[in-house]
Amino acid sequence: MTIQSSQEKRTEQTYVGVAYPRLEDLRLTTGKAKFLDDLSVPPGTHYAVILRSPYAHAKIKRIDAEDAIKVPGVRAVLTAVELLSVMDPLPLALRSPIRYYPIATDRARYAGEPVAVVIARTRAIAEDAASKVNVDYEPLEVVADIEKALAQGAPNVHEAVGSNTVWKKTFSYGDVGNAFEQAVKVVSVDVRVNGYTVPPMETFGVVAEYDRGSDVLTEWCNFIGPFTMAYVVAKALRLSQDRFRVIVPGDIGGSFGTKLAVYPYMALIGACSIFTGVPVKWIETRMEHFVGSTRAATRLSHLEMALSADGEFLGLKARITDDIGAYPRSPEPGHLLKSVSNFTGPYKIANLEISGEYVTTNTLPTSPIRAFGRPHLCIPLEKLVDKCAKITGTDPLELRKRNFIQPRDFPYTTASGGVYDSGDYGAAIEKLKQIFDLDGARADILEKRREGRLVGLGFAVGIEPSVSNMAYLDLAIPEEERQKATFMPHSGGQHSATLKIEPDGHIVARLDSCPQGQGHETVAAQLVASVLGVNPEDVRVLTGVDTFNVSWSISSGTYASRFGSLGISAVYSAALDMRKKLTEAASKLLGVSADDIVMENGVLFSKSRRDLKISSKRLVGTVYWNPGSDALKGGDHTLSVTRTFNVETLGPATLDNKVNASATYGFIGTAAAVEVDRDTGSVSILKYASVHDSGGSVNPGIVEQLCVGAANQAASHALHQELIHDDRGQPLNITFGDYYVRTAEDFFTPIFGSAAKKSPFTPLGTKGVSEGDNMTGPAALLIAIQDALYEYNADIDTVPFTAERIWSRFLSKNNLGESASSRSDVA
Amino acid sequence: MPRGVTLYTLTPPKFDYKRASSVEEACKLLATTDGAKVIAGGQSLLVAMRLRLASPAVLVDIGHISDLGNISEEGMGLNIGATCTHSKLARSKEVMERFPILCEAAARVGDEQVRNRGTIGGSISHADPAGNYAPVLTALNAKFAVVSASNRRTIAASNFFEGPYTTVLNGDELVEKVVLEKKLSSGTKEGHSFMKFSTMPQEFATVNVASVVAIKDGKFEEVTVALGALLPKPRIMPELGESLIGKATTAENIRQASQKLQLGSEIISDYKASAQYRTHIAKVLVARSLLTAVNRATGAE
Repeated sequence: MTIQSSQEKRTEQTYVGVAYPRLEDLRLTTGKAKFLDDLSVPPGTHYAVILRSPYAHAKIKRIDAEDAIKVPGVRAVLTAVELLSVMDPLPLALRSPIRYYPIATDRARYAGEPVAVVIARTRAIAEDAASKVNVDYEPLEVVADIEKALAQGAPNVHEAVGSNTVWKKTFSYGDVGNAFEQAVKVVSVDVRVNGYTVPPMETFGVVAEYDRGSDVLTEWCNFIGPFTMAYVVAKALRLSQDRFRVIVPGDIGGSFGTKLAVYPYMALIGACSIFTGVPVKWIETRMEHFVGSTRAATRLSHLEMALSADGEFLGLKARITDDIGAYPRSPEPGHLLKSVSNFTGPYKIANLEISGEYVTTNTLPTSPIRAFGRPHLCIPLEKLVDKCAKITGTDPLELRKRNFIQPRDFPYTTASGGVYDSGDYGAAIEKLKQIFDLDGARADILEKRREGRLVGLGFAVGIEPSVSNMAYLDLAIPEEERQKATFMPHSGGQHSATLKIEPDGHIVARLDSCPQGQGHETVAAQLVASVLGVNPEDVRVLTGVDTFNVSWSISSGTYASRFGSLGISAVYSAALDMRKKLTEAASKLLGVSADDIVMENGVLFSKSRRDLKISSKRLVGTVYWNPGSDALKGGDHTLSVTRTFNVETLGPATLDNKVNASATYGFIGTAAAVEVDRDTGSVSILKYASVHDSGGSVNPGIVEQLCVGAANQAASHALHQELIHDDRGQPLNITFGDYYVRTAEDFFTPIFGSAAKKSPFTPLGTKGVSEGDNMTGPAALLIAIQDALYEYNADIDTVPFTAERIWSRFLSKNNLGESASSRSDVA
Repeated sequence: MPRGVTLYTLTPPKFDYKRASSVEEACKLLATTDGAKVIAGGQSLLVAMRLRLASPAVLVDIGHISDLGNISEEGMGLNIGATCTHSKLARSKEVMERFPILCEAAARVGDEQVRNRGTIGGSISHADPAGNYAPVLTALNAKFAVVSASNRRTIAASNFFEGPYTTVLNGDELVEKVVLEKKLSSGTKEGHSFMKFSTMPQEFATVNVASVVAIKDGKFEEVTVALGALLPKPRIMPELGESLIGKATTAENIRQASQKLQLGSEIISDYKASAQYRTHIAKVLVARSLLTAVNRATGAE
């Protein structure tokens, strides 16, 4: 391997773009990884069991823990009465009179809300004692869904608000009124996305140890970031951040976004340790995960498109209502706001109006789930575009291409402020046609239709943003307030990496990421190895965060596909810096200029005088063991570099509500062919293909694995996954038996293709990737099923579209649509 | 359970554990111990205990009794020991030759891990209405050999299941084996089919159907169809036999007979599937499984 001079911008990227086998997999697949529950706990650790409200809405009149506290081994039974003495509410992103604690105070507002915590020497003792706690409730009328929450005279989830609407706002860009006046046609769709989740294998867990001597609270937790939430927890626990140490282990057993929502439990278990003075450990059970962790929002959307005579998208109007459960906790209203800057997807739409309403109900609160809010947006938007194609009689892919942002437009600023870095969406569509074998697929559909089978094709496209610019949440704050001098705007999405060469020459890369299976160790090792001319196995990569020992920032963590763009950039930049340090030290020791130094096979030598050389091992050794040598005097005596990478386009929100919520914007195009069982409504996926623009991948193998998972999650979300509760707000499907998650046995194999356009904003041109199928997958499947059910003029308006819904809405009825006999064409 | 709180537990309440080395010893323990419960693979009981939905004082483990999981031939029939695992059953050559639907049913219990631990005796004794074996064993007219310290009796599958999670077993009894008989007159061809309807293959069924047909000269000689999962207990549908026996084994005859099925008002209705949908699916599945059974009997499949 050759390492060229650091003076040249490009390096030889030996391992970049290689599907290198994952370095972490031996540990992960042989039971040797240590997840949160496997970590050693501090001496004297006690175990917490959380008692939860059986009512979705009730006044808590009295909690009687007298018998429980007498059980030998029980340290305490804590309720809000005790815990509020050491805790303030968790700050919200929304301005609201609501006070959000991780434990119910006078009222329980969802079935599963914590009401008490039993702390005992063992988990079994805590569970025995928990059955002796009695709580008196006065059940209140339950508001279980959006319709009821917004009904006249509905009871309020929060009386202090005086309504179930906790936030309402219209964002307007361009001249929407004019666009709709100019329109030849206005096309509209409605979609309801039910609440759902993507549960990880490992449940939530927190170990909290409060040390009275130092007044430091240490928490080990499988929290994934962003560390803004660690700040929120510190605020709630009345701790300054130098006294709140968060340690996230390097291995997390899946998350799919859910583990951001560990943070209320970090506050709860932290408060328990502060109050009792003993270390406290809590591991969530599977059922608790379903009733008490988090979910994606339930959304009603109504979208309208203004079309010109030749099918140009003149304007888009959206009316969005999100049910975000019992508390509008941070980072809500992100389900909507995170997508404002890329609301129009890959389309050039200059006029945009978004009306958002946020509603509280007596259900589990929400937070980001893989592709935060984007399935909610992509499904109705692509359904709308497909409908526009039908109404104008245009090929659905051609209509899309006609309205795409064109390659010459990049970097492109959307009407709402998003700054798209690069792309060639038309080329990606051509690639999609090719890998899907569109002509073949269409012929196959026609053939099957002749046999009387219900088969159809669907396409969906979308923008895959990566990184989260905190600025988007400022849109939740009224403009007047943002104008005040005291207001501090938020922005940025930085990622850090520290690279160190140990005195014996070994290389350690320390990331501030919290991977849950994304293979960061392998990718970082590939990058460092490529720049420093070693093998990936020679680079030890440490992941996870320890806020006392790792260079971190408020945006540290692993969420919003940030590693593919900023994480890789931070590691790569640190590696270049390290190489510069090595060549500079060598130039001093060899007495030649740094420009003249070349690294090759572990040796640094002078280009002009090849006999002047030093091995990298001796060089490193000299820097550490003999920094007093004449040659190194006055120099830099460390072989440690930390680089924090940020993209400059991640600025604050403007007063006209424009914001760029993400650093890079990939593209995804998905095609699906499905068959609907005429008798049962069951859907089979005949073929599924996606093209991704990841800007190029460091490890395309890992990207593909992540996308296979995303596509399968997408199918589950589209076809059967939803969190169901009855009208009293009781969750009904709270086990893996009832809320089915695909296992390896059930996976289908998608076809993938790449249509990479390098990002000008990252040094290697990479963008974040792997959440795209979660949004285009359900959209493409919905459209394909509508196509398969063309005889029925099917308008699918509820996600998931279960077999029973398809049967009862369409197949069980004989009132076939007008086109039933006439139509034989294919999408 | 506590009053006024919902508790999601991970640990079972305290219990004692006895490992039986013979069926006699197991029966003796069951007869002499208060609150004793039989455990074999533990795939349902342990889950219930960890959720504190079940709290037996003593577990009597029959999982280590040698030969209790054996499959043995008896004439043209088979005896299947209580602790035979679903995996073993699914892969058994003897069972596949004689009663292939039992292999199909076993192969579609839970996931691989459950199939490797869970047993046929445990499954039928647990009597989950969505279980796979109940309709299959009912349709096959299986008998269960049941023992206790003081008694030994044989119970027909059709009399064994009483409702969700309840059977006619007394607290001191255990299922020792499943007995399957086979008698075929000459010139008769037999076909079986098991179908499970669920959103995903490994999910609990919303409807289960087991069909057994005997065909002679292109006409139905015997038709036995048992439905599971949509009723509190498996049910044989005798009217199918009444309308099909003696008739030609055509798809149209099957379709007509299936459409006429009256499933009554007991159909389970829950968030997974409404009674209306379950009823519809049952008719679809009955027709499909009968057709498959016919095709298998006649060698069309």
